[in-house]
Amino acid sequence: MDSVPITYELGAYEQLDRQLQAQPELYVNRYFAEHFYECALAGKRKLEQVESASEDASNSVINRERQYVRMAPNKLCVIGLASSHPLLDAELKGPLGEIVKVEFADNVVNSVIKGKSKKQSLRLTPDTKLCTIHTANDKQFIVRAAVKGKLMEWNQRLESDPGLVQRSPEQGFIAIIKPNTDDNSKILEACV
Amino acid sequence: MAESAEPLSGFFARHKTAFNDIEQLQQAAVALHKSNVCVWCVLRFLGFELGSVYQQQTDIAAKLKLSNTNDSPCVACLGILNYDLADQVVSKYREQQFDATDVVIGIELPKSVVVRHRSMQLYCSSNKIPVLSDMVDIKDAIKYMISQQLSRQCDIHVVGESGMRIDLVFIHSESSSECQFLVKQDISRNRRNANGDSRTTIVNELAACSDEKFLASFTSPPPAISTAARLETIAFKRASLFVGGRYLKLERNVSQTPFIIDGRRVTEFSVSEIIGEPLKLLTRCDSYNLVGSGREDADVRMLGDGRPFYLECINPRTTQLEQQQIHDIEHNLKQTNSPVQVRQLQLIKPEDTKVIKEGEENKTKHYCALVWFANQLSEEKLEEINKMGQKEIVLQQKTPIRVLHRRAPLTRPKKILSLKVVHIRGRFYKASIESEAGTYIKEFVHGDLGRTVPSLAQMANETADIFELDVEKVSLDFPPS
Repeated sequence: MDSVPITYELGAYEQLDRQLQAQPELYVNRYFAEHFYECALAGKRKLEQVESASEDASNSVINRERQYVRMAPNKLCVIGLASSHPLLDAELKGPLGEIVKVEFADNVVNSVIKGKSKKQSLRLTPDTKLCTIHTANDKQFIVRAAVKGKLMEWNQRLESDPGLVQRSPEQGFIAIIKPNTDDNSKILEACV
Repeated sequence: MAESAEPLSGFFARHKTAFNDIEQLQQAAVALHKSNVCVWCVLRFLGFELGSVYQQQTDIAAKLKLSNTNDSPCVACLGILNYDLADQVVSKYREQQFDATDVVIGIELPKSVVVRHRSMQLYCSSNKIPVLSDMVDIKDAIKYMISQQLSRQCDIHVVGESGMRIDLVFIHSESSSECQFLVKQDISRNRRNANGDSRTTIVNELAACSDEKFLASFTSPPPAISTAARLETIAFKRASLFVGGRYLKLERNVSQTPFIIDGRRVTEFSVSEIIGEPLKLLTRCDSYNLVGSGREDADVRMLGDGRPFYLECINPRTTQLEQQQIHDIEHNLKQTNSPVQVRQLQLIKPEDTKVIKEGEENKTKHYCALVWFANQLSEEKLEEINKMGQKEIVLQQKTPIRVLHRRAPLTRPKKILSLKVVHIRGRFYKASIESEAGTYIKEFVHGDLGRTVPSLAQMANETADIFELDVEKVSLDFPPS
């Protein structure tokens, strides 16, 4: 049996190598399409949004509380904090203090996720609260589902290692959700 | 056909019937025939065994002095027993050009036939016509006439069991409600207890039904009919042919089976089509089904001596193949530099296929991967990884996100039996991995957002990604020879 050792043509990957070298965490873009959801808007949806839009730049950044919605080719969405979120933004996170606790909602913690069809999984709407993040300086931030679907997984690692959210936003994801539909425009309805 | 010179008495002497007296035989024949029973059925009820007698019908009808004025279909066989039937079936069979040497014939008759047979039995007994318990059955008569034609025209014989099946279904709407009087209409209790009008139910009910009860609801001899039964279906089915071997996938973006989303093909080629289409032409089958011992992603190559698989050819017309013809397919794929090639392609027995699925769960696989790290690894770090790789590493793999939509969410322990990482240049490395069946290698490399633990990224303490993956070896002893 002839076994010629395998060699790889690296030329095709030079550009990728350069892009990722600067920001390695961007490798996730090879596996997910990134979209954004603004958490702060959820609470204000019932109020006049015109008011928040006219506020000055720095205020509106704090108000937005961006989350990422990373969609895999099979439509599953990984929800986490975007880099512009106050807790991750270099300038804004200081005064907030580091994250000391990630408190998942009761219905999330008690949810049942099992079996191939995951029939009993918790149903979520974009506004559903997934967890509350507590900081050392007593600040609180809510993370919401962002898409309508079934809860596939919530990141239990954050219960024992809340710092993971800031150390690695992609490993420190909050939850994985299976949307009810395959239609991207419907899935991302609540997103920006 | 000219009437033979032999008198009825000579004929009677040579063939066994239910009768001892030739006059009684003659009287019985006339009585039966007058009650709208065809010559075939007359001969059956007289007790003649299947044989040349049935082929000399006009001759015998004349000897028995049966008048020719009977136009309406036979009340016993519903007009099914006639030689056109054999012609019809055989010509359809020849169209398909199956190369079978034996065949089994399955027949479904209208349910009224059973009821009418009972009616005929009662008619015979009330007219002192002796009926043999082993008289020729309608189904046996059909099989007889078809097998005569088949062996004459196609050199094929009818047997009890065979890979080749001819299934015939006869329908007779005119008499379809004749069996209803036997069926209990038990609507009052819940539906599950209601007796259906299935064949078995009718046969059982008939056996339990006394002669008086029967005659109260059904005439004897059976009522005349104006239409003959129709041959509704002639179906040909052949046992699948199995071809086994090992396949190699030398290029990326070839899925194992056709990959179609929203009506569009995601990958241009598939392993099953590249191997299946030439076999479909060779065996003239309806369709095919490829079953491999495991699968690799469309963007992963399958190298080494390939992955064991079998291809099932469904309803093949040609099964008598030379090994050379099979070998030609293997040769052709090689010559044309096909992205998918085969090794050891051969005909296999159905039992041989079991090994394929069994091996999928417990055989180890060898992989080679192009791995990237965010920073070049130090010598020490690389050595450390390789040292760990010499021993077994047990992973806890949560169902990868990319298959989580269709697999149950579980954490599966999987073993990496050996791991070796070699520096190519810069941030590029080549990893050689031997793992337990069912291990997700891509997730082992980048960690799947920390859901596969440990991961190569974790071991190197660097963000890691996998750019290319190849399966180098699938250890399974297959195909047989």
